[in-house]
Amino acid sequence: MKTKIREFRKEQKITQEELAAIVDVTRQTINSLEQGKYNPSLELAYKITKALNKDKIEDVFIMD
Amino acid sequence: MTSKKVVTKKSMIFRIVFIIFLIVSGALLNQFNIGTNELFGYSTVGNYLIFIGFVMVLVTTITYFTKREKIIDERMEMLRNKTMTLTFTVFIFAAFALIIWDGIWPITMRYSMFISYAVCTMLLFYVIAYKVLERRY
Repeated sequence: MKTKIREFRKEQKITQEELAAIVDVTRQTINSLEQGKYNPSLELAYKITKALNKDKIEDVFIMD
Repeated sequence: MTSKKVVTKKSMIFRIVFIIFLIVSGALLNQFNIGTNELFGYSTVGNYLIFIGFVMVLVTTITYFTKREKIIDERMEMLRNKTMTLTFTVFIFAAFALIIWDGIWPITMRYSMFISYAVCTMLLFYVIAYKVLERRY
């Protein structure tokens, strides 16, 4: 799965650690998501979408 | 789902009770000369229990003062599940291979030593598998 987390995170000017703290995961998980190595649960995808001030999950996460 | 594992009062009490149980049972075993056949060729069962008890005192003290809080997120849980499955699968195949090995070249090692090696190998495999999977996911 591809994500636009890094792009939106840089727009919002927040670090991986800050985003990780907001959505209650480790920094490694955010890094893994950005690299497309790990597919998040619906709950985590929703939290990240909200944390990045986006309306739809599809805006942040793109299915291959 | 994210969960925070905190060293709670309840878990601390459980650990302390377990430590006391280990040390007291070790002392009692030594007192009544039970299990005094040398285990692994070095010491008695009672001494080993007392030793584990004191190691746990050390570990519990360090844990209490340092790791008060630990975040376990869904990725870590996924990694843990995958590693457990992998370790269990490898264990089943290794056991099967050992049965065949024992049939061809009988294993003459002491049972206690064999189990110790098996448990240590499994733990080592678990740690290595976790690290490898962590890089992959």
